[in-house]
Amino acid sequence: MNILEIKNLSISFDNTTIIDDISLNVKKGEIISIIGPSGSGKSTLLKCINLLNIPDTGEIIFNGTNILTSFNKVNQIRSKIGMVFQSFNLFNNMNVLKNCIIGPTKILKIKKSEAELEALRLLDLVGMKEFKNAKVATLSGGQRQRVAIARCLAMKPDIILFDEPTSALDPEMVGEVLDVIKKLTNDGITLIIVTHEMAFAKEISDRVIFMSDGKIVEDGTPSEIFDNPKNERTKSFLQRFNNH
Amino acid sequence: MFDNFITIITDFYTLLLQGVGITLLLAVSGTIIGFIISLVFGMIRVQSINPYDNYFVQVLKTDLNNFVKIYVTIFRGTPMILQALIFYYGFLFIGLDWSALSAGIFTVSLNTGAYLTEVIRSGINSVEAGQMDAARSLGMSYPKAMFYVVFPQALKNSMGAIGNELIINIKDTAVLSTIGIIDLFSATETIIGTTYLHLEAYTIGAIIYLFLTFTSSKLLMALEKKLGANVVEITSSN
Ligand SMILES: Nc1ncnc2c1ncn2[C@@H]1O[C@H](COP(=O)(O)OP(=O)(O)OP(=O)(O)O)[C@@H](O)[C@H]1O
Ligand SMILES: [Mg+2]
Repeated sequence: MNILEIKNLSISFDNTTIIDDISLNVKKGEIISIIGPSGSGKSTLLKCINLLNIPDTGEIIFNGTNILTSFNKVNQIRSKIGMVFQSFNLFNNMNVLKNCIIGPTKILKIKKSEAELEALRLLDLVGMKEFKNAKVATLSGGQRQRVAIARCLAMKPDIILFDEPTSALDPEMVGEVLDVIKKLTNDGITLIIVTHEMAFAKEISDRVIFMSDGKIVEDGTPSEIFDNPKNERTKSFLQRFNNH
Repeated sequence: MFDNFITIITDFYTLLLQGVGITLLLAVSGTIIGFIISLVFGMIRVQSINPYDNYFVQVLKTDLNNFVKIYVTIFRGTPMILQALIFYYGFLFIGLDWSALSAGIFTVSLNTGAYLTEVIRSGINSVEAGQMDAARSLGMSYPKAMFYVVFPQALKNSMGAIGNELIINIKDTAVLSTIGIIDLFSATETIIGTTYLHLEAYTIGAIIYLFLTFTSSKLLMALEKKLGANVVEITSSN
């Protein structure tokens, strides 16, 4: 069953086409990595799925609903689509625990005590339980991203979109965040991960998508993309990556 | 000369205290009402048109935005003394019989509202866009995201400037004696009218103003510290 169907999606900014007629089906529970050069439209694609960017044309069918014609339900739709940002974006005016219960209590209307219990379980999962009362400003990047993942999970989303979750981290903190993401891959939750961590993508993904110039250039299993890329652009992108 | 100071204080301390009361009333109520105005108008100023707003919402946002822009331009671009005179006589002219004090509070409030609208607007804009994105991506409506996430941070960023506006109002309401309000400045003038001790009365007035602004700024600093706000020193004047 497809949880997400993207059909002929396009978006331009200032007359430059950023997403160029992309179609993509995502099965429930699938782990998809999106790789590609900077500026190829990866973040924009994720933002479209979450309606933070509004595409010019195309359809996005999420759980059977075309979300582009359901703006009256945008908040309900977004609550089912989690997003983890490169820059973490934890709420600076709340401590760690509050970050994780604000969504469930104010959007899902879950009782505070219940929400706290669940938030603590999730904070434990990401290894941040002991920081529940910490202020955001006192946390390292890796810690912030782990809390951001817990905040996202607290909404019980059907799908989580990761936009380069480790790109803003110091190298020594990348591992702790990737480990947490890896834990999620066994939960049946659908993940779409934009990343430059090629080894990680190869290890955890069911499918890897290579994007360039707003198009999906190649789409296949990790070994198809990484070991036997067919397209010249995929080959040269991966080659440049390996030489770094 | 020192004797003159003592005489003024002992003979006119009730008048001076009344003046202090009126000055504080003007400054505090003007700042509070102006702050409330600025919450509404500042919020209007940060509205941008979304692709999925319907036509009516788009027109409403544009028109309200232009209205607030004009309001801010007029009130920041003209002296408060003229605003007060125009309101006071203007309302009398159209038959509204109101006191000078009401006209004064009205003027200070609108004046403060204009300055604080800009403070609130830039306070909201100074909150990283990622905060709003994250709130919306969780499924919060725009008002909820504003209320729980963006606005508290904006207010914290704006605390210093809002406090500064109160201090400015304590001093700058002195011009409102022109429409006949018996504030602290007017009290010193009254004292001079009977004693002819110009220098002494003005000096006492200045010292009391200094005491009021100094004390308020200390209180505000303590408050900001308690609320964990960023203490900023902004100098501007109406
Ligand atoms: N809101 C916007 N307005 C104008 N241009 C935009 C906007 N958002 C993105 N762009 C442009 O679209 C292009 C693609 O951006 P996008 O962030 O999707 O690329 P990306 O593949 O995520 O790149 P990176 O690997 O650097 O994150 C860039 O050139 C960017 O400047
Ligand atoms: Mg990006």
